[in-house]
Amino acid sequence: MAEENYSFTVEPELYKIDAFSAKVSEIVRRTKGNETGFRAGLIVIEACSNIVKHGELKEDDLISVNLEVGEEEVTITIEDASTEFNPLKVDDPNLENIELLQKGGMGVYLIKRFSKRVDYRYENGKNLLKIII
Amino acid sequence: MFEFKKANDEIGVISLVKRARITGEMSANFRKWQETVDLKSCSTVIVDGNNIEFIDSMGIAALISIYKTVSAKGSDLILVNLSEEIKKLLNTLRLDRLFIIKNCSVVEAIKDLC
Repeated sequence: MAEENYSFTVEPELYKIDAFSAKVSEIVRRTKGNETGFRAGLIVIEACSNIVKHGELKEDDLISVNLEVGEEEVTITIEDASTEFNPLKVDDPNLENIELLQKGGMGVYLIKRFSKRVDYRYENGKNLLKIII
Repeated sequence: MFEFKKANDEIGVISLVKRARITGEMSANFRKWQETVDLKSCSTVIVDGNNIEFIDSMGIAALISIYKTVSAKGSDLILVNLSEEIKKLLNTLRLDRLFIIKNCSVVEAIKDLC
């Protein structure tokens, strides 16, 4: 199967990120099946929602997403110009404490658990998060 | 969007009237809505996942809110009709310890309780 490559930009609004996540799920599901499609949509919505909630983006800042659907792997690269934030430094949530779990930390944990590998770097004023499923 | 019905006067059933994604604003609306229905008088609350197309961490936080309301009265929260992907997501967060997740329909779950 030839690699499929897609580039998108999404506005930093939760409802737009939701629609975008559904689109990514559908693209990946077509060739990789329901489970990988679900994972891709989940990773996109959690990563992009985190940027909106914590990133202090300006109104006209866009989030850039590159999606590569390869034979063996799906790679999602998310780029944003918000404040530097390395999600890999976020502690895993305490799954025993539902009060804390409900308050936050689930999103980054799910990105890590539903991917094979996550890389982060901050370069030229941009956060670059690369996730391999 | 959300519907609450009672079965046998004491079992509460929550469902979505049409297929939807529980994320972002929808999750916030779900949390507000669950505060308006009488979950506290139910011996058990069943959430029908049939129309839940997708859920993210904000949607899961809304389910935890329902669980907290229901469990405060010593009642159970049962989730039925969930997709395999959503079940796996809840298991990853070890929420299967809190929620009772069943592979059956709402009717079958009610029958099991009676």
